[in-house]
Amino acid sequence: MRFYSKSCAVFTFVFAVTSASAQMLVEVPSGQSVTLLEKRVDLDADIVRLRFVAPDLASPLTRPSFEALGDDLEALCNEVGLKNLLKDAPLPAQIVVSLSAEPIEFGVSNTEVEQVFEAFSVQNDTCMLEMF
Amino acid sequence: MQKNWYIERDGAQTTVSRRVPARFDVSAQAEFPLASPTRLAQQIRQDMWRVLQNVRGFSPVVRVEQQGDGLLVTAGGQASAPISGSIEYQISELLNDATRRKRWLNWAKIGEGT
Repeated sequence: MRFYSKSCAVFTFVFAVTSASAQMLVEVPSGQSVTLLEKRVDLDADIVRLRFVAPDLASPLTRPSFEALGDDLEALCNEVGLKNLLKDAPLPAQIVVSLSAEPIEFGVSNTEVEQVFEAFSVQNDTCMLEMF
Repeated sequence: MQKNWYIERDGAQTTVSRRVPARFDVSAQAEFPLASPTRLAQQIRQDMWRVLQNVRGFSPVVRVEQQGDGLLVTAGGQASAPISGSIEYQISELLNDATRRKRWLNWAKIGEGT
């Protein structure tokens, strides 16, 4: 099954579901394609972590600028987080969206794999970059 | 609210902050080899978030200044009083953590954009 949706001019996402596994392929504003690795809910801290794999981070030739990555992370929070994965769920105090060049285990430091992340709060059904 | 991070470039100095004007109420410094200032600053800023996210009223600032054949990094930011003395210690520990430094410098290799 393949479902395609276009929510705004610069953001598209595709759900490609295979019989073996469910994989969400997302094209973000910078033009890179990322794949959802996991949604991780921390009930104690009231944080939802959305972790994506972004292979383009690995190469300096394809790696977006930090400004562009910021837009990507915000788009993922809004379009994948709020409008899809958290659509019918209680909203957490914070959503942390991360990209890594390769799948890495949560909480494990890996100096060889590029990673970026941002933390967002939810205000008026929109992800807002935390002041911190 | 500013949608993204402020990046101010002034000669040999690059400052990344969430608010302007950037202000250091608390800070620590460390030297680094030459690297992309903006990428290095953003990586340090992210790890400051990991360490200090529960400090109320904290708004991070990372300044990278080229000095000779190296970089001087000042990391810290704006904080609400009373400011715990442990914050500067935590930032200093962060800046001198060998594993983190290796990761930051991998990301900020010269020639990989700003």
